Amino acid sequence: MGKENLGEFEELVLLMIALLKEDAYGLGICEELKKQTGRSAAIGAVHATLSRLANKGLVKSSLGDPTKERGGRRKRLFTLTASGKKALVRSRDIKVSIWTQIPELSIKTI
Amino acid sequence: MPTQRPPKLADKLLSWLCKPELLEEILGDLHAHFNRNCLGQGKRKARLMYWIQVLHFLRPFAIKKNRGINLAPYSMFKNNFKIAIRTSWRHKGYSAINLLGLAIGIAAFLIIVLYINDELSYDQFHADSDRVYRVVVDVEKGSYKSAQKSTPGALREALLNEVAEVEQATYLHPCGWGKVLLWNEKYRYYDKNLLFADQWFFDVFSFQFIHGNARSAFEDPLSVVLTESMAIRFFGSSSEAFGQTLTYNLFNHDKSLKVTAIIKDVPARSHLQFDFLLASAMIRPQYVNNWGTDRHVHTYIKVRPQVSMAEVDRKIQDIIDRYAIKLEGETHTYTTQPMTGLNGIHLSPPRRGEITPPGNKLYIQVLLAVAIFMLLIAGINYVNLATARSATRAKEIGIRKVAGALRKTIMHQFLAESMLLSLLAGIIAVGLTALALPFFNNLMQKQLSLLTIDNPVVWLSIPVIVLVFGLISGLYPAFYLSSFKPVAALRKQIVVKATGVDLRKVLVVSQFALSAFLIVGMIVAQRQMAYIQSADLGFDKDQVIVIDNFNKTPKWDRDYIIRNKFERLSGVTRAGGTLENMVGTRRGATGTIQLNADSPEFPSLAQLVDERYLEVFGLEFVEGRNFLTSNPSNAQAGIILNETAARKMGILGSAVGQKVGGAGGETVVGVVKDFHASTLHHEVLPYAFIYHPGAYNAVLKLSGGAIPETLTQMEEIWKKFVPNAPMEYYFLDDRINWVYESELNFKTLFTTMTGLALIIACMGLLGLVAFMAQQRTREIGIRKVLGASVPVLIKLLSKDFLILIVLANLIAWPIAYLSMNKWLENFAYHINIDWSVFLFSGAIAFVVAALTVSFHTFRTAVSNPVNSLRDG
Repeated sequence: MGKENLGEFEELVLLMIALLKEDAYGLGICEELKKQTGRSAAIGAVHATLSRLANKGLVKSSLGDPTKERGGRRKRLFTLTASGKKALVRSRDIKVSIWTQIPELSIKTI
Repeated sequence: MPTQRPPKLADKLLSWLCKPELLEEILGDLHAHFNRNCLGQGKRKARLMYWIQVLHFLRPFAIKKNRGINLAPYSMFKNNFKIAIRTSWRHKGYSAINLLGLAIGIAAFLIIVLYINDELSYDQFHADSDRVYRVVVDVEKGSYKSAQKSTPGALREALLNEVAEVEQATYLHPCGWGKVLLWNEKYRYYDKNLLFADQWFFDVFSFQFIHGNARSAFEDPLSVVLTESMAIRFFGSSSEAFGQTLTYNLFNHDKSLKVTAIIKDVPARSHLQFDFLLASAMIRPQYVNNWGTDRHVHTYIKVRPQVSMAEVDRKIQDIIDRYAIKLEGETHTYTTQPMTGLNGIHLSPPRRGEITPPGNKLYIQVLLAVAIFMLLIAGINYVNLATARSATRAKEIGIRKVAGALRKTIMHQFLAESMLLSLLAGIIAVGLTALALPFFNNLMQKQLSLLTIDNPVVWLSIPVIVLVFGLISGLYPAFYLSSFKPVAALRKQIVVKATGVDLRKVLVVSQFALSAFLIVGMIVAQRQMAYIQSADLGFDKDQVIVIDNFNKTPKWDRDYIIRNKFERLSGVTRAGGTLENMVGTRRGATGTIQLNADSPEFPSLAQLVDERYLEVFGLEFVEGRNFLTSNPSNAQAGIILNETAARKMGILGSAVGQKVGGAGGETVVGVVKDFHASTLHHEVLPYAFIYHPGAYNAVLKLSGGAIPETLTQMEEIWKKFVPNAPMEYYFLDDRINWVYESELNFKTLFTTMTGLALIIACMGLLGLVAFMAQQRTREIGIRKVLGASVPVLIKLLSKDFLILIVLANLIAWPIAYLSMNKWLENFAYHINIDWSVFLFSGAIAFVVAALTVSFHTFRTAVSNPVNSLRDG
């Protein structure tokens, strides 16, 4: 998959990061995903996707503060990069553009 | 806040496998998740969930990369080997010791593997060799037991009709009456290497046809199947031979046989060996419908796939119980014997009248053990020298570590060294094997060659040995040397311990214990064989000539030739004759003897002889007299016993005049002193001489000197009576030594291997001592300056090692004693292992080790202290 094209799960994770703003980290994304879509993803799956997104340069990360709940460990907080934002917008635009070309009727008959 | 903790094991797993830079965030998320779950769903479920989540992290992105492989693998590999070559080259002496020892070990191992492969692959060239069985019988009568392979001639038909499991059966008949003559105008064959076979022979055995086929081979009773080399001898080539005729002389009648087929020569690894196959139909009428077991018919069956052999055995026994003619009191137990494998015909204890001498399972076991010992000893050398030299390499390791080498990298380095050595040794070993095989073949009567190995396992065994050896011997040094702390190593704080129990000492002890074991074995075997060869057999075997084709002479002339021709020769003291094999070369019991019909029977041997036979062998009479020269008939001649026979029957001392042998019986005329009629493996059995003139074998006692002239004279006499066959004779003492030939050869082989093992062990010791002496040069210098004398210094340096050697011997002796006693039990007459054996073996080990040790200790001790103190 090229740099510009997003997988479905990747896109969702990117959206969650955008949604959560300053508090986007692995577990948080995972829980938000569950809340928004009803999908329960393994934390490992989310981490794997985040690592892939970071490799693609769509997100960047920094370490947050330790909390007691995490056993004194720090969170890794993710934010979108410019190209991350661009990828999301592009993905949305493509879909919208296709949607607009589908007549109302043909959807109903599906 | 939370009192619950997530499963520790899961955390451990994660931290072990996961990239360290990701660990914090991952564990953090997981713990937070766990704590939330604990509140919501309870502890058990949370723990389960935790495990599931952890396992979800076993993905490529999270798992640690192997750094060793990651970092430019090829160049590190290359570097390891480059360093390995340089280090080995710098320490040529040590490397040579290791290399040579290991190469010898591997070569010995390789030869043994070849030997075992050869022994185990007997008879496997037949297409369905795993389904072919020989029917054998154990005969028991009272205390008389005999393992036979003769089966009734009528058994084949019954097996095919009544045992559904049997697919095909064939019977063979070896040439039981000595050498036969086959000839045409080009070549005369006079030997006994032929078999009588039937038309089903080729259904059971797969010998390859060059001309002719299995169907037509035995259609006519007057047929002969030739092997290729025989076809070439008789006719020049196998295609010319096909369809030609050969003349065969059977019982003094000439028969013309047509060559109906030519087959490839019988492979060496076949328990059936023959030059010709003749149709058993030619002699079949004698036995084909016979249910007696004395006809020397060997039955082989091919069973259907996957049948129960126990069931087949039971059915055969059932047939025998119903039909077979047995002597009263005899039980016949019929079983089938697989043709191939470790329990196959070749490696089973021999049965009466085997066509080829069988192999010996004991040899296989002993040789394998010795070969493994040698490999172990060579391996120990490597480990010892590598760790002993650690001090010289401590600096190198320290620098490497300081420069950033991981422990693993250093281990790779040392493994590369041992692998390189092992690889080189493997290559040298193949060369050594090629050099040593001719000697081995000569000793063990084999035709082994590296070029004709048909079993891929043998080829595979070489790289496997090399790899396994390289890995195992390199592993300990690698662990040990890579554990050095860089600071200590660079400060020269690594001291190779010279005292205390350490692994190196344990290894030296085990090495020499193995050697000591082999030495004791060697001495015992040497002594036993010397004992056998010099043992008093109870009769005179020197300068006795046996003519073993005396039955070629006209029957009514035989006594005349012996008395009036041979015995008149000036070089002959006495001449006699017998119908049987000579004393000294006979095997187990052939029958039983009893005092009268109601008394117990004893396994015994009987021999039909004339009155001069006993004189030729100088048998001493303890009672009575010899047969009378002017005896009118056999019936009145009586019987002569040996002491054992008389003693067992309870008539020793009053034997003369007694009738023995049940109903009617024979009158005892004399009792001779006991003698060894068979090999010293067997106890002296009751023996009976029965009078019978007209010998098949003539025996002549020569007076010594002028033996060639006497032989020429004998041959002249022979030609007058037997113009068309040469006189065949042998010297009895040669033949008696023959019986022990395989044991003597085995002894030589064992001695050689023991010697080699000891040499390898000593080379290791030499290296070790050299190193220790070098380590202590300075100490010795100081001691010398303070006034220590050379002997004191030698003692100081040697003591530790020599104590180890003594310890090794003490460990090895009891084990050696037990196992050699076991071996000696094979012989009814054997030496006792006494203290001198151990003293002698201990002395060998000690002297060899002491010489090895003193070679270096002396040099160190006499060296000028100024030199050793100045440098360094």
